Amino acid sequence: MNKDDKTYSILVVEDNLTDSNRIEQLLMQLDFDLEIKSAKNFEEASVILSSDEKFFDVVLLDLTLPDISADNLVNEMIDKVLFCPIIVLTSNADVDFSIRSISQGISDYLIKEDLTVATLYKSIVCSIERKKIFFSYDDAKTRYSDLFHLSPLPMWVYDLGTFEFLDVNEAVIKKYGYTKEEFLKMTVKEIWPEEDYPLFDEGVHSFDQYKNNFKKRYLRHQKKNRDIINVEVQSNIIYFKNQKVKLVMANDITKQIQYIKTIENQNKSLKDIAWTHSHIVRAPLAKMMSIIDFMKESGKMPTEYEDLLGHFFDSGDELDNIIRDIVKNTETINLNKIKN
Amino acid sequence: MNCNVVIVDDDEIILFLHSKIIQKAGLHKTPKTFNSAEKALFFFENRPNKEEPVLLFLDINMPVMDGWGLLDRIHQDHFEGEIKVVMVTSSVDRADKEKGGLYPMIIDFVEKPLSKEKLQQLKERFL
Repeated sequence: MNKDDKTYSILVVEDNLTDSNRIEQLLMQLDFDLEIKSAKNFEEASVILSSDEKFFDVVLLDLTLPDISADNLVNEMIDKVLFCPIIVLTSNADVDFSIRSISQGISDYLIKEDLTVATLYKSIVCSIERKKIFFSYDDAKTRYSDLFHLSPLPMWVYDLGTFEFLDVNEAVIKKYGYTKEEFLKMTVKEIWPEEDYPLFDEGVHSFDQYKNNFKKRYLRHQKKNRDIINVEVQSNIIYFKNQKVKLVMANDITKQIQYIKTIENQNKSLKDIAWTHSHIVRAPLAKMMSIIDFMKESGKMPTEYEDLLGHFFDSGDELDNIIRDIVKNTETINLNKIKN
Repeated sequence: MNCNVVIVDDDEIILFLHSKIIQKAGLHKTPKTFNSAEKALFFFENRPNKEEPVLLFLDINMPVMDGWGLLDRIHQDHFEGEIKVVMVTSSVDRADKEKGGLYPMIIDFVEKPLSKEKLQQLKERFL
């Protein structure tokens, strides 16, 4: 290992004083700048790992401690050390258990009886380096991969040149009905309805697709069962397996669009009703009122009719007000006022 | 001052009633009535005294050529002489009134039934 300026901090958890002294002596012989802390039991180790100095480069852990069983110890310690590698110190008798604990997240095991400077050195260096690599690649990868695969929104990644699907998440499989294997043999175009192919081809020749654009697009997609859905699509360019690819997120808005269309149709009917009232129904009424007015003005009406004519005119007025109310109410429906 | 008062409406009864009420309001003694936009246009083109201003009472909803169509024709053909237009409609639709703002010759909007009071107001304002 390259000798560097870093000071390595090591936590030794060991209840046997003889053993811990021996380990510390061996550690001192290593070509490291060291800061050693020791704990005699699990409780002490817990206190140290919960304090401000909880960050260690490596923990050397004796499996047989007075205050906890080996099983629990491994689990508890893995929780407490955060990202620090744990090397288990074991006796010949416990080798089997130690090997098993590796699958639980223990980095390595060392047999106390065979402990030498060389084995200790190798184990510490390997554990630290492995952990570094693990966190820089695997952990980041699984975290982001989870974000992709477990996202409730359908997401996929496609090749910018061939438009082949490179990866799809669970939500896509559920939404579109194809299996992952089927998707990986398909191109993006195949989830477009055939009528929209010209639109797709237009997009292929546009430079927009090579740009990072979070801009929302509203498209139609076709599921395996031929159902067509309306989707709101957002995409971005990412690096996937060392190549530039496009990550797409598609939100199914079919239902919303249907609701909007229904409401628009209803509004249109309402406006038609308003128009009918305003233009058609009111025309004969206006004429009637003109006639009555004229008759009243003429002064040639027998007096008993004049009274009746007054009532007739009032009824017309009433009807007129009703029509005006209907028109006024429907005037509030104005879709043109909604700006996109 | 001599002027022409012209009423255009596809309904004969309305033409009769409106010309009566215009007479009564003292707006004009002999208003001219036309039951279609085309007939009114023909009159405008062939009237003898083109220097006499025209006050036009124009119905919006008419078959073949409606009130707006007639206004467009007047607009295009550079109406000879002066014309003022009162749009007469049985509609209470606000959209019609908004559209009216586009035509400078429109001086007013009146809803049917036409009342004597309304006509007297018009007379004071414009004649």
